[in-house]
Amino acid sequence: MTCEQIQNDLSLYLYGELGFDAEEAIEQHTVECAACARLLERERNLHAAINTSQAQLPPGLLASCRRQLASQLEITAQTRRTPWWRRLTPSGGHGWWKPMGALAMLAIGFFGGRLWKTEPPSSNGGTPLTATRVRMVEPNAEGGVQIVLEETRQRTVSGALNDEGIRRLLLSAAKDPADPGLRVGSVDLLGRDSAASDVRRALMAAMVSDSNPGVRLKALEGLKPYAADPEVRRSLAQALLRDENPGVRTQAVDLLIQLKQRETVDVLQESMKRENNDYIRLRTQRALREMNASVDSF
Amino acid sequence: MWSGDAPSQAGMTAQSAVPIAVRRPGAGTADVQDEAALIRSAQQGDHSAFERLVHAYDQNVLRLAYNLLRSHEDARDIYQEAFLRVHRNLNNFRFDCSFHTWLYRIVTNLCLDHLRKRKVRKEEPTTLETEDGAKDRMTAFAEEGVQGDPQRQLVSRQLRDRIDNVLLQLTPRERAVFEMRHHDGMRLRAIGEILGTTEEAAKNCLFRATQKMRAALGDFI
Repeated sequence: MTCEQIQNDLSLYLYGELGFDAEEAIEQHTVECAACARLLERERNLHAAINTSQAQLPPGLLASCRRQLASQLEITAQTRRTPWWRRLTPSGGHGWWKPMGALAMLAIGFFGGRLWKTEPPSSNGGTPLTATRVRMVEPNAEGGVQIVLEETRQRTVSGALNDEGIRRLLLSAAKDPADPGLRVGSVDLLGRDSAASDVRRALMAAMVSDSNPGVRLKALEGLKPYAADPEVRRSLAQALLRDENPGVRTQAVDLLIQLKQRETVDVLQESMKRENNDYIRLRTQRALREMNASVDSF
Repeated sequence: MWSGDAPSQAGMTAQSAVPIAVRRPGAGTADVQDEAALIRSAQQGDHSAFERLVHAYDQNVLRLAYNLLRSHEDARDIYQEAFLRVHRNLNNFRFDCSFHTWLYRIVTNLCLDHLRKRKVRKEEPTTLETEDGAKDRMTAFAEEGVQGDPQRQLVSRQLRDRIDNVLLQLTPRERAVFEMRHHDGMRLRAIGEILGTTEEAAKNCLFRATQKMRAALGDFI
């Protein structure tokens, strides 16, 4: 190979994108040719210089992207669950909606009273509570009227925490973006029996992604018995390094420190670089000393 | 229909599970099988499976978008749009290519569109986004110069500035190939597959990008 061919391939050689023969040729050539050896060294310096240009992700950006995505997905799911007629709102610019709405209101007043008499919903006779809305009214061929009702039925479900159906409902409620109180309650209940892997995953997701610190704290509490699990440990590390709430970070660092595992040293050292909370810094520093790990460079 | 949203898998071969192994050098057959199971669960509506899938890739996706676009907000937009498209179209994913390739195709297409629009509007950022927020290039330059060894800080800042300028001059495609190869460590074969081109074409892009870098940084190295 000529010097020119060798020089053209130097970059690809450093990227490891050449075949065995081409690599061999460059290695042989640069031993014998001082000019090409110098150029290879320059190319190495160029690669090293470019390495310094890699932008570092700002802390917190990933966690915030995850939270935003979770709420977007929830909105999408809710939109899918919403019946098509609910999406035809007045704000959608449908001018016909106003007279239709007025007609529907009249119909509710007129027919609603009658319907209520003939078919009253009851809460004490064993029938579940039902919210009824008139959805459509139209005259029929016999001179009468046809009315479409929409009924939303409330139902009470009870059972043990380890019941599959109950757990599924709790897992779903733990993700309800509209109601942080419901999420706190659900995560709290799920945390009382987090042996199942899907519960643990939900708790980990809540701990690192929920927008409400109360939910994140409850999730962290629920994960305490499983702190030694590598996946849980990783989530705890994530909470320690990224959570904006010092309460969550304090709980996370306390759990990680209790583990006294070599794997947590890197995380604790990284936390020393980022942390501005005195208590957490102190706890971390002490733990690192106990583990004979370096704290001096921070 | 989503044909315009997500790339088609036509023409992809079943053997392209390779990029996953490349991206995660430790990944073995078991990992690939785990991922397939995760994708199938997510396809059946398992939200936590989808979340795990996202979490397996999203840090690298965000880093790539951030490196390419050098803006928090743009990177955030790409992240959201890419994973929403994945969610919308996951049922159409038929394992004809690796999930990694499919996802990165969506991400790079979004980034390339963004870079092209930016070029048309000539909206290259004049600020650098640092950990302390956006700063004017000259301000950032001056601030760093007074800390530590001023001479070294100055040279290092000038070097990074020069690299940033070259990156802005690369074509969107050259830049995407360069970022994926240099900073993400992907093989050119996988990059070609992601960009819907050949390994040779990806190699040429990388060659041109490094040539431009070399020309611009000649006196620094």
